[in-house]
This record gives sequence, structure tokens and C-alpha cells, in this order.
Amino acid sequence: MKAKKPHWSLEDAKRLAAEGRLFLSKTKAQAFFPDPWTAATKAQAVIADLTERQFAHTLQQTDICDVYGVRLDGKGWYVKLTIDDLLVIVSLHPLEKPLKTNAGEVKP
Amino acid sequence: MKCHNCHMGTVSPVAGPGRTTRYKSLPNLAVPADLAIMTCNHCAEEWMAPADAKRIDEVLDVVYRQELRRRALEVLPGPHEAARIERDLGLSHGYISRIRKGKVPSADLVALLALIYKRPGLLREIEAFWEGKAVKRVQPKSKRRSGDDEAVVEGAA
Repeated sequence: MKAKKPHWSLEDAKRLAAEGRLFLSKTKAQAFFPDPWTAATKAQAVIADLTERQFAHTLQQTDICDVYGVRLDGKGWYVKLTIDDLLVIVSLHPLEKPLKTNAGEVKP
Repeated sequence: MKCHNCHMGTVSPVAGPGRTTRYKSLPNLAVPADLAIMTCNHCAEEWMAPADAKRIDEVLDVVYRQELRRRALEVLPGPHEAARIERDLGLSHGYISRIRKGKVPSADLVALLALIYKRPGLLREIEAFWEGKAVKRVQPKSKRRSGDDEAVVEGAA
């Protein structure tokens, strides 16, 4: 089966993250990270390591968002991002259910 | 920037009194009134870039350490119990006295001190554990008979 392609260029996402032009919700991050700095650095690291094999699907919501499933510290995580001048990490949290990506199913 | 949570509001720096946040072990740490955080004017979602996160962390860490010490002072043992607690928790001699004088304890130590303060019998249970007595896990309250509150270590009573 042909691998799915993300709507947003991963190269652009990585460049924005590396430049610190990344925004994430502090309100949501505090549920999963001990402090803002840990959340922000983890988000930057996740984006830096992201590949198209981890891409799951694109959501056509109010924003067009790309969804990825990644493994972090032995667990599956859900990453939802969009680009609006800045890279916006809309969601970054442990998976609640398995997610199908180009590389296969990522489990919680 | 528009808010990507509610898609209705605009995100801009907001400072002010009366805000709290989860930070490390504390679920409701007071946020200093002069700390500006990017906040949506419609849904109040807070946002941050890595540079904001660093600045917020530096400020909150100071408040957090002050709060840890304040909480520790509420549950510190008296001088005659201090040596026993220091021994049982593996702390250096005089450590509790140093907290009284300004040292900031770790969150795990404050949590332990709070538990021992609330249930002094725990100290005997810790001692029994170090003595090598078998440990029994306490059942969740719903599965226990009433009055069966502290059966943690056999022979610890």
C-alpha cells in the first residue's frame, strides 16, 4: 500500500521547531509533563525526530492538522500539529487507543 | 496569534493575580501576578514557545521551592523525633534542622514527612520494613473491613 503523505511539510515543521518558532498549549502540557520547560524541550525533540513513517492521517478540522504516532519512553504518543506562521503542536499526549501510521500500528 | 484551541479568541501575554498552575508535584502553585503568560482571551488556554517555557520555569521554580519549604515546615518533626526520622529515612544527621534553617527539601521527602506527620504509626512500619519483616500490601479501602486501617507490615504494631 502506498504510504500516506502529510499535508504540512515535515521539513518546514522541523525547521520551525529548531528555530524555537513552535507553540504548544501550556494548559494541556501540564497534564503530562512536570513543568513547561520539559514539555517544550520534549516537543522540540519529538518534532526533530519525526519521520513520514510515523504519519497517521490529516484531519480537516478548523485547522488542517497532521497526526503522527510516535513512541516515547516505551509508550505510544499522539502528536497533532499544524502550521500557522509558527509550528503549533495542538496535541501531544499518550495514545488512548492504537493509531495506524505508515510504519504500522502504534499502541498506547 | 489566533487560539488553536477554541478558534475564537486571540492569544496574547496576560499577567495578573489569582492564577494557579500545576508545577511538578504541586497541582495548584500560585503564579506570580507579574508573570506574563500567552493566554487566549476567549477560552483562557495558555500557550508557550520554548523561550516562554524557559522564562516561566525559572520563575515558577523559585515559587515552587519556597512552597516546598513552607509545606515541609508544617510537618517537620520535633527535635526529639528528628534523629529517629533522619535515621529511618536515611537522611544525614542534622538534615531536618537544616530544613528549619532554610534548606529546601525534595518533594519526595516532604511527601514522606507529611505522611509520617499524619500517621505516626508509619514510622514503626518503616522500621519494621528495614528490619526485614514481610510487607503486606494494604487493600484499597472499599475492600477492607472497617477498623483494618494500618495492616502494612506483619508484626509492626
